[in-house]
Amino acid sequence: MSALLEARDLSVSFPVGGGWLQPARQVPAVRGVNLALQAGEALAVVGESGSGKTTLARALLGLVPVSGGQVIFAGQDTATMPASARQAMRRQVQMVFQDPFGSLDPRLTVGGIIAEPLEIHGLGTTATRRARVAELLGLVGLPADAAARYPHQFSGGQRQRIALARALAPAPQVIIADEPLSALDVSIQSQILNLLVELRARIGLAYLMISHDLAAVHHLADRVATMYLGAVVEVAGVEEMFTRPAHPYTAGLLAAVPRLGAGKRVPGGTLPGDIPSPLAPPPGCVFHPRCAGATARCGQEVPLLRPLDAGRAVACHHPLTGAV
Amino acid sequence: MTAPLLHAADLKVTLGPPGAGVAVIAGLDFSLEAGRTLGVVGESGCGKSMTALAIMGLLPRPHAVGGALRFNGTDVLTLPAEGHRRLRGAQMAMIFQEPMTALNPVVTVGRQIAEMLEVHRATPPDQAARQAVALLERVGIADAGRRATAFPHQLSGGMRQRVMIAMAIACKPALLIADEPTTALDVSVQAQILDLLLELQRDEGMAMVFISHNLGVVSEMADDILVMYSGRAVEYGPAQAVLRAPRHPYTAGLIATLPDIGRRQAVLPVIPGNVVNPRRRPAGCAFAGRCAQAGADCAAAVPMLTPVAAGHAAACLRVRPAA
Amino acid sequence: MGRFLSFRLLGAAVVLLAKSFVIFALIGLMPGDPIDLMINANPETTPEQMAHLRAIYGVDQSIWLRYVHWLTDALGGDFGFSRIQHRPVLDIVIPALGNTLILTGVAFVISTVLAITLGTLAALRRGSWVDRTINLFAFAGISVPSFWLGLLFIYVFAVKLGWLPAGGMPRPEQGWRGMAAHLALPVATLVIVEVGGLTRYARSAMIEVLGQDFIRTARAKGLTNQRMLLRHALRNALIPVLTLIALQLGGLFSGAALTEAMFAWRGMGRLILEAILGNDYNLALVCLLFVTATILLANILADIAYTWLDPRISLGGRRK
Repeated sequence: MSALLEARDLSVSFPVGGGWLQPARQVPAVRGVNLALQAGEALAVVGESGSGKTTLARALLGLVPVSGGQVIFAGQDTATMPASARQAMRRQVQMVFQDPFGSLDPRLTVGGIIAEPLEIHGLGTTATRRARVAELLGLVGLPADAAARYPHQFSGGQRQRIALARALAPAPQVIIADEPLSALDVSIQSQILNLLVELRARIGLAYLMISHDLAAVHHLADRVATMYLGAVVEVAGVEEMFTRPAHPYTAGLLAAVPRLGAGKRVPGGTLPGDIPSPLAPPPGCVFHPRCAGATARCGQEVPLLRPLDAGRAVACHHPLTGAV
Repeated sequence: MTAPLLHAADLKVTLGPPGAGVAVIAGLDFSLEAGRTLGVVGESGCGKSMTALAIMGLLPRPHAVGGALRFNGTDVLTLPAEGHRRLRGAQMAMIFQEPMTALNPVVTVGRQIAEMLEVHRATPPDQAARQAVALLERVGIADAGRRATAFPHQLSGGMRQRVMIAMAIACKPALLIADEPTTALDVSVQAQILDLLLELQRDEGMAMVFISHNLGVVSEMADDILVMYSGRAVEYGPAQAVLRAPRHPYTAGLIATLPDIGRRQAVLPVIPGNVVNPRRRPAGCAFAGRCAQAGADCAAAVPMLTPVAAGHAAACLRVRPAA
Repeated sequence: MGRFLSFRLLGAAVVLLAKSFVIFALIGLMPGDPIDLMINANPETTPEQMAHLRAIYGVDQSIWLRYVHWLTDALGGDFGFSRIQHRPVLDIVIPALGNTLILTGVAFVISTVLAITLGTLAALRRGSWVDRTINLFAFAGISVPSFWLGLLFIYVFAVKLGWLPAGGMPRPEQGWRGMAAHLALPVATLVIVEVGGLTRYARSAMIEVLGQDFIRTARAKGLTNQRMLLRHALRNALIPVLTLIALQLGGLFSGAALTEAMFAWRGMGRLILEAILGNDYNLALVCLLFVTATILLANILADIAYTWLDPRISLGGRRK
């Protein structure tokens, strides 16, 4: 199986500060990430805010400049690929955003919004585009007459369906979804989650889903990558990850998810502290100040991401072995 | 049995000018004993935040209220504005969803906490400042003396919510209202804040109204749960009873739609349709349009909360009342 | 802070230097020079005398040489003589600057305090008759031309009622009463013209702040309305208003040419007008440089005030 979209030792830094006669400091947001999305696969990236998961997604899309490493699409380095290949990639990789209110142009009809990517990529004629819009609306579970209406006439869940239809319009192979559920009501989240699962089964899409909602990730993903302070600390199949997390950070995140019907909470055992500033990362393993199992070695030596067992890698000197 | 700390009887809130108002709360009954936690669950527009604002006397103007809302025996709906102001912060306090915007960006967090004591306790400023540092320590902020001089933007989201909590508990209120206090936070920080609230409640004995759209969070915090839909309670009872044996189809649906980490399903059950707009609330049961069990009788009249078990009630024509 | 200040002051000096050359060059490019005016005054001047005069005044030299010459003198504190008034330039500019500062300073303080008070009142009582009355007043002030208002005031209060002087400067022996009487009409004109825009701005800034989450928090804390307003709302609302205030602060020193002319107030605005019309190179140059310097200074002060009002802004001018 060949990777469709791949990050190779990918780093992204943002300049902060600077100005008159002062050089800007570089804040590393993504640090040396290796991650491959296979065709038809659903890969989720989880982590706290500040973990770099959104920046990683934006770098894969070419929306932020890369400061090191490569983004590979269909075997070609995106930095050196010819313009025609880059155009094809833009068609093949589409994005869905968190906010279904801000991401749709309020002055365009829904039909216009969905047809826009087709026009940009010069796909089809006016008539075939109209047919495609009707087909896409059916695919995401909206009535055909929605095409003539405007975004403000729809609820949040319906708008997220419109955003999905727009993303699907140029028949992409990959959808990158950044927190696609978090702005929606609880009863609507499951509707959209089901739609994502169904679309994948029908079209054979690959998903890269950025989410802090671990239960939704568990429902949708085949594989999960945990990020902490810009680096991937664990990659595993979803069942392995959720039943036997190897990295203490993944285990901490999983333990923090509230469980329904488990009775009233007993305080204690939570992951302490906050994610540190990327400007002053702790020495050694960047997670060690928050880790209950940290040893002297963790404060000195940076753990590398290394294979643990089949399809599973972890960046920890003392990976957990038991089930949670 | 003593009178409850907080008791709502047929509480009604209409927002907007007379004649053109929207009934955001259309008749709500609940009560909360001192030291206990009432979890209020519902989706956007169900009226859960308006319930909190009604208790605090912070409803947006113009508005009209009806029914009764007793706090420590006083009906706060008829309380003069100045009397309600004296209660706020001193006996009832509130924390909000966005700890970034809920704090004044140009005042140090220490000053914002100390202000509570100066206003309600007439504490001299220097003494209030020292107590503010102690309060910051109390809510688990390390290096509290230095943090007290920080501005909100210099703190992390979790720390800002801790500051909000320190402010809320400064005058040892009998009631703390937490409106989606962890929704803007990461799960790890959410767990820290929930632990903190439970510890403070245990030590200070305050009652809590805990509002959230997240059933999992509410299930970990609440003694009793009030499920709201479109301005009314659809189910009300002890937390474990409501979550393990939900009687209202909406509650049952909400629980079923949640993906469960322990159990992967091919297709999640869904509640079809969208949340009802309170401006276009149908006659009869507001949930009927999304309910698989609804019949013609559901549109006829608003179902009343009916006891289904000890202390557990549901507002649905399809539930069999307790004998 | 020290680092920031030295950077900004250095920057201001560079701007001032550049500006001095630009003004110098522009005045040099203007048709006609002082010698032409002298020749016009005395038609019997011979060509030899003309050349001699040009050499004395240095007008025959290149603009560069003349500029370097002027700059050397200026840096030594000698800004030259005024051609019209036959006095050292500084002796004319400094009293004019003082007069202007009295007039515009009083008007500025009154209009700023009035605008913030009215804007806050209007925001608090939004939609009520208070708000509508204040809005009407503000729009009337914005719409009315200062020369018309000034003439109206002179006609009503000086000519018809005879309560106040129609213009001119108070004599020293008149004391503060004379000063107040002479200031009343020009200050009133300036305040009414300036206060409208600032009031509207303060009102919208206050409305925005009153809708913020932290105001809801302040109310949830049980603060009195007065404390909520003074401790929490006002300081946040002042941040955007400060931009407008800073712009007006720079204008304080350039004076209000029209109003000064109308009320015969011997300030900078009138002086600049006279210097340019009278081809008085040295005087115009120094006046314009003063104006530039004060605007630059006002901007630096505004930046410092921003950091004082808003801790999120650091002295690099960035939001953290």
